Amino acid sequence: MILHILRKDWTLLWPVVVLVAALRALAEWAVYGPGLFGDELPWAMGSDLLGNAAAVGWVVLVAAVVHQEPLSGTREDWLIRPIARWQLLCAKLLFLALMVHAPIVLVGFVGAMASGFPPGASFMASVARAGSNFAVYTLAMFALASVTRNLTQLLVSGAGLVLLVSAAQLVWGGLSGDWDGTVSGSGYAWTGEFARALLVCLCAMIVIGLQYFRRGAIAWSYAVVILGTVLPVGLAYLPWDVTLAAQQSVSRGAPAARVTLEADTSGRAAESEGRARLISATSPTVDEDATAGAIRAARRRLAGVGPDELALQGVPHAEDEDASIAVPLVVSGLAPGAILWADRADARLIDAGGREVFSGAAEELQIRGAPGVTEARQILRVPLHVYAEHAHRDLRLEIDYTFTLLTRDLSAVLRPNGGETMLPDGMNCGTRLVREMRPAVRFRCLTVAKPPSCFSVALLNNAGTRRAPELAVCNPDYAPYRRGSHLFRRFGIDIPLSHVGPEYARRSILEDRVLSFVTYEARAHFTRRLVIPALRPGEWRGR
Amino acid sequence: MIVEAHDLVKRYVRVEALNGLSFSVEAGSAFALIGPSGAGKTTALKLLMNLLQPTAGRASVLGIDSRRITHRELARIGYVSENQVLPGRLTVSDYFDYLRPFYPRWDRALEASIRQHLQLPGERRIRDLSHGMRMKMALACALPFRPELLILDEPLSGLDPLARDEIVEGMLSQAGEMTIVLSSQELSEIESVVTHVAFLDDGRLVFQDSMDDLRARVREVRVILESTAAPPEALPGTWINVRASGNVLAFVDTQYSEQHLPNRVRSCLRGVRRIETDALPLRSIFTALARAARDGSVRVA
Repeated sequence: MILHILRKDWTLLWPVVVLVAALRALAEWAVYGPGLFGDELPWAMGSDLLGNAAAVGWVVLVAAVVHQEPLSGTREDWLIRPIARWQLLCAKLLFLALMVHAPIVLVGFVGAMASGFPPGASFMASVARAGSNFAVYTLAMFALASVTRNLTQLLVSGAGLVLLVSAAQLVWGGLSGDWDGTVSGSGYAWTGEFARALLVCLCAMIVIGLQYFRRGAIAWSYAVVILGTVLPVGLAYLPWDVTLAAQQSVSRGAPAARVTLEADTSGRAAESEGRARLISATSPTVDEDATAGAIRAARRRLAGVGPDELALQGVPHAEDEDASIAVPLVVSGLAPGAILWADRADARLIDAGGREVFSGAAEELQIRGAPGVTEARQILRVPLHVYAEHAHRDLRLEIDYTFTLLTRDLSAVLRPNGGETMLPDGMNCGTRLVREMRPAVRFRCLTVAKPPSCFSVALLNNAGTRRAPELAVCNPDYAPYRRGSHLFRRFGIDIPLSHVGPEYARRSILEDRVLSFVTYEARAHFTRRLVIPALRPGEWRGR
Repeated sequence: MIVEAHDLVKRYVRVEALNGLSFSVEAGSAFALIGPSGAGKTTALKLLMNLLQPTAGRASVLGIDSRRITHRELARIGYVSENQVLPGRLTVSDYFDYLRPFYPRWDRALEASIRQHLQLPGERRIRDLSHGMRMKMALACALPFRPELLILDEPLSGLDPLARDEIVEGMLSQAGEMTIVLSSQELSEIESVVTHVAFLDDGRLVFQDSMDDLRARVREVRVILESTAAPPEALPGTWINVRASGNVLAFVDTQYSEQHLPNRVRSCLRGVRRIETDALPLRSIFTALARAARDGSVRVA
């Protein structure tokens, strides 16, 4: 009977199925079709448009298949027919699996194969993407459809739930004083997303169970729908300790016990600033959500000149109402080339009487391992009035860090113009010379796997000697799985030739060089506490 | 008993649709639930079909608690409702094709016969059918599997006379051993079909009787008096709808007995010249009972 019901639904809905599959295929093609460098605006916009249209079609299809036999109300003919509810539910789920997600798997698989990715990686990525979409989005939409009678009701309910989420965010944000949530924007963001997805999936299954197997349970179903909408908002505000524990439980490596952090109090701010060398990438980096086609600048950028030199994020200009304090640090136990990424740094300044005069987040800190001891500098911004009051008094500084150690994972060498290479795990990277605003080597990777948390690129001469600064880009993501609802992800960076030297501007010279590409993955997550018992802010003020 | 209801209560937020309803239906009978609009007839039938669950009380259908009715029992029950929502995008033939495998006892020859009798256009989409056609379609879908119990909720409502006749004929032609439970306001049309009737008012059973007993028990009585008639202050409670016109006093006796009526009339009225009685059609019985129920003067039998 399951197939019999499925055949009936297919008879009624095949035009929508075909339309959604076609839109999905076109949206995928708009990503992989133009190749590695297809992140130009027209393609990105086209992919966005088609992806959104396919998403609308998908919502319509889920609603339509569930509403063929609406579960709310008492007037539907099917309710008095000898149709076993479990068979009906199985038929609907099978329909969605076969008619919505199987085409997505197929389209993704074909697209990935056409882009040169290995069959295994292509298939696994397509199935994983379809599976996660089914478990979260389709089940949630299925649950919402099961408590409504038609598409209009579903859309109105959906709009109501969006308002509810906004209200919940206002309440949670207002109560916590943090509008973005605990882990938002960090490599730990997946923990909140995963918990939310799990909760939404669980609530969806409860609603579907109630609607299909319990009569007169609509009030309970609505209650679960509302809970399943509001509670996940709160999961963005999980305590940091909880997310850290979750992250450590899935991490591959042991805590980096050898890494130690101390304040280098032998120097003074001026000296520290003198040693620091700011090198920042000036061309935009790309972290493209490929299917959606959205190109956005990487949130964080790690600039450096290689393991043998100190790599720092530049001292930011303090806001008018802030004063920045620069604390030189010495890090030991960090392997050359490794990256130490501070995911969180909670700072406190305590006066001699034990009163906390300042409490807040320290500026971002990313440290590149150098041979021997690595030097770095922690910037702390404090309100001007606090600084003025305590500039010449001894304060106790405490900073609680949560660090992630990232080490080298994959590497490749390719020609800087027209080079292309396929890395294991389904990552296709290539280069080409572009002459837009100014000449640059455009480096792009298209992947069906999880993009790396960090990658670095450097132009080398034939002897393997570095001839230009290494550029490193980080967008940490410590998820043990591939995140996102899109199959293809594109990332990369434009290496401006003016930055690496005018001699590279000539194609012939450039073609004599090679581009070294290295990815870095998180190996360990751990905490450290930095304590400076007596620190006079006035002696450590940065610019 | 193929259907039994005991003290059924169905309460909504502000409305008590059923208030301790009890009735029973014998196998093979054609049982009509009648009563004014809002009496609770549709709610009672939906409770029997497990479309609704009672707030209190219980009902059994085919020996099964109505709350436990599943697809297995539904294969033995036909149900037609005036506001049933059929899948509009399917054609008539598609829907028959869809339903057939769900019923182990589906009789294709019977289906063909019914479809021919009711003249259902196979290629037309259900949403394009008129209300009358949809009701015929619903009936045609409820009969080919020869249900043991056929439940009809206002099957004739809003239909033209021809469609009513066709549906009643359709029911009669297939009645056989089947038990029919129906609710209807179209009493003239169903009178030829029903064998038993229950009168509901305000969510309660006013009475339940066989049609034969009801016809015998409820009579229009006209008493011709020697002088101008005026209803006496005290009349038996079983006399309802009392009217006086000239020297004639008319009423409906809900406990008519040919043997006892003359004595009862003469004990209540003086100067009785003649007593005439007439059997009442179901519609008139209903009207008299409904008026009496509204006035609060009817007694539960």
